Amino acid sequence: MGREMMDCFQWQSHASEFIDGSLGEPLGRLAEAHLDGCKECKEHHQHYRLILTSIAGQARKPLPAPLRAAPLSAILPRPELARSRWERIPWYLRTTLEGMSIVLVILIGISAGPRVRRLYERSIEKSLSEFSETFSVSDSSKTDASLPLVPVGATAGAAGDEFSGESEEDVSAEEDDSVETDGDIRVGSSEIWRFNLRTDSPDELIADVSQVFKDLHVAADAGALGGLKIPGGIQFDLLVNKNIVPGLKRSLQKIAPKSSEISAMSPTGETFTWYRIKSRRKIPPGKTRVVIWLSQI
Amino acid sequence: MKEAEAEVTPPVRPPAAPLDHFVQTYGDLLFDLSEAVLWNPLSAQLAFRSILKSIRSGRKRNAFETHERAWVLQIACERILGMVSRHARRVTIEELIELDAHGTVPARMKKFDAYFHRLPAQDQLLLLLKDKHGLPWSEIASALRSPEGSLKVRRQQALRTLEEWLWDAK
Repeated sequence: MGREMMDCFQWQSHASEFIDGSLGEPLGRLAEAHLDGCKECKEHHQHYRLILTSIAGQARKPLPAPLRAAPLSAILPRPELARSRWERIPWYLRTTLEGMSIVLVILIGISAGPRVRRLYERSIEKSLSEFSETFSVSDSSKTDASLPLVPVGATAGAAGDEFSGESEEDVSAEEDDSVETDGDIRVGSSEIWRFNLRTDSPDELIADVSQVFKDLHVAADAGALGGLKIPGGIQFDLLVNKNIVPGLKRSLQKIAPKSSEISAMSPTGETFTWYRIKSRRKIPPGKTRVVIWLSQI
Repeated sequence: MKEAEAEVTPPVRPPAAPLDHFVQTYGDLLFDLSEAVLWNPLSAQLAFRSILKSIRSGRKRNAFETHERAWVLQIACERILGMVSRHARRVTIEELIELDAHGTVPARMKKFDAYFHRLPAQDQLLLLLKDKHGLPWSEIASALRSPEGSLKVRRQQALRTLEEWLWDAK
């Protein structure tokens, strides 16, 4: 008895053949019976019939007479809808232009490569110099840190030899050169000596540095003799006579921690470095600015 | 012995039908199919010419083919489907918005052509071949290179899709 009934799903499955009238006799009769009882499927059936009538009723376009007469030689109007302006250019011109463009791009790439690299290297150098200025001149507002560093020594060993080889007469001669004669502030007319001591405990070195100042008879009004604690270490910013700089350098080198002690902690392995930088800042004649930086590793 | 020799003799190939024969016999059908799917008379002319060229190059190979119309339709369907992506007129965004907008069924039926062209090109070809030109399933299956059963299911699905667009659109 179950076979005598057709449900909506079965009717949908056979709808295409049912509409064509090609459904076999038992199935066709069951589909008819289902349509009589199912309003929804009857509606679908009517819709399908309407759609198929619309498709069958579409106007048939006959083959145009010129095309029928000469199917392969008749001149056809080119459909411009789907073709861009670029595609309408003859292929030989198009491919030539494309090839030349590719070659041009490659040549530009080749010629621009070194320039880009140079620019990149320049920017790296600039950022490096900014970095070193930031760390070497903590009080940049006072010293015009934009000026280039003029290192006269770099490490405790090599630079120390160079420095120690320099007699005090040389220093005084240099002192004479750097004295402003016409009162004009020029690049290099003033100088700042910077001594950097790397240590794992800057506080412990304060007493040693103070002792050095005492030994060298640094005037009490030379600056902050007790040091100034700032993030990353302790800084002494002093205005001293130029002739004590060599002695100060030697004394600081003595109190600097040994490289072997903290080389594992320091990325460069150096514990004592020094520089002399030029400054536009006006410094009284015979004086020089000394910045001692006890940096925390 | 003579009988044996006669059996071995290869059959004589009949001369290939002239191109004009195809134009006169199937010209209207092919052009109508092209025009109906590509929805653009100029593209339909290009498609027709392309079909004829394919027939010309392949007719010698098909000299013994008995189902000539199925063979022609197979070529035609291939060429038309190949040209759809570049040359068919598509329903524009504005038209799509209009089609999806609320409207009465009679108003939608007036735009039946646009709804029909929203169907995939293969479904359009299937409905045209079956319901506009009344071709048998066997020829349609050969033309579209699909089994008859699959084509019947696809036809049913296409009808259901059109019904949804025309009657159930919300």
